[in-house]
Amino acid sequence: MAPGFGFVFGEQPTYLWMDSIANAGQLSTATSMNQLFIQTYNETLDLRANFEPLKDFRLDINVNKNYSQNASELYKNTSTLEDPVFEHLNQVDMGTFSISYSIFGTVFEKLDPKKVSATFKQFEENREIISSRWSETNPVYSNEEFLTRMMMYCCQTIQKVTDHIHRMC
Amino acid sequence: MLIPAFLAAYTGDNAAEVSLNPFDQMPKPNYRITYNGLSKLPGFKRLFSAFNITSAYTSTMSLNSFITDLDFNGNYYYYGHTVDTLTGNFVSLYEIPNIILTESLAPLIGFDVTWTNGITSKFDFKKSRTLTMSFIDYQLTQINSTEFTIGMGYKMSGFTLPFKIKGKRPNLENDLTFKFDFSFRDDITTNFRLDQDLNEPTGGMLAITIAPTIDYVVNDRFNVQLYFDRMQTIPKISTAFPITSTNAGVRVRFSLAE
Repeated sequence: MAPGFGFVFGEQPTYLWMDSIANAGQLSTATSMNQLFIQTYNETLDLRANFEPLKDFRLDINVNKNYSQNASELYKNTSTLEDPVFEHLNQVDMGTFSISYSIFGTVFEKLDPKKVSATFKQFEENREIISSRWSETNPVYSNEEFLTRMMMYCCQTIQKVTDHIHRMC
Repeated sequence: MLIPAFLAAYTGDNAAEVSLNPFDQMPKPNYRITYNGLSKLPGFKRLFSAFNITSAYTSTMSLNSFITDLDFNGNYYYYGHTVDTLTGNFVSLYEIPNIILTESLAPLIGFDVTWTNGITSKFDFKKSRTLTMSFIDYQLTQINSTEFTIGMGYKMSGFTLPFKIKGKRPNLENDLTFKFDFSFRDDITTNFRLDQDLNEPTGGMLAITIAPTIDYVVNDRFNVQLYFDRMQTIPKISTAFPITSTNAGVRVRFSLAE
């Protein structure tokens, strides 16, 4: 019974399922296989509501969301025909995302063509805050190896700049 | 990293609290409010036969496309491992070339009034904003537009022309409709670049439209319209030309349909 009832009723498998059927010997072991394994996902949300809190006073609310994702990978035998080893290669996800939103917080901001808007300046400042929040959560950031690498990178840049200045002099 | 910072700035939220994952965002509600009860209130009843007040807000956020960054090499979900050697930044899971925020208050406030004497009048004040943030050249393009329109209409029958033809002032027995529309729009397109403290207006104009018309129904099949339509655009940048176009004339419509 392969691929089974899950296939009939539209089950969305994960990579574990792929591994399991490969181990069960249900996949071709051809090493020259170059067909992609593709999985698509779509999500659409459309909510509408009408309120009439007072007579003749209507309030219509709507909320939307659209998400689509297309995941593809090459799942194939990278070893020999006799002793197959399956690997997930070249995993690529792509898609689109859009939601109903609200930027009402800055709606009445005046746009002066001669000045950078305050909101944009806020955006520039926010970068530091977000960056430090990432660094707190990213376990790689506190990793010593990473820090040394980062230091090396910075030193290289400084070295390059000083070299450049020396050359100019 | 730039996306949460950008969204926090434009939604007016605190950057220390916003979600770091743009896909985690909950869709937010958009609204339209209509109130048409004013004409039923005792004081207004004699003046208006219909009075509508509208206000609506729609906004979207879209990541038009995202694709896995092939340089991303993280065992940790969403946390980058690899550092871009050119910029020193972490490589993120997805490459997102741009994010677009749009917003429109169409209208911010709008009135639609039918007076008891047959005059209809309309007033709309609209505002819209489009923000396109590109993460390829780190440039934000902002398009702002403000528009207001005024419309008036009056329908009457039995109008006596104010001039004489063959010694008599002709009386128009059928429906005569006057209409007058005026709109004023102010658009501006401008670019901001990160860390350059520079505002670069790249386009924009003022557009003024005036369009009065007079319609007369001679009979079921025959319609005459006098029209005038003038549109003037005044650009805000020196590379574009000011344009004024004026159309005026008589339109005669004869319907053959049964």
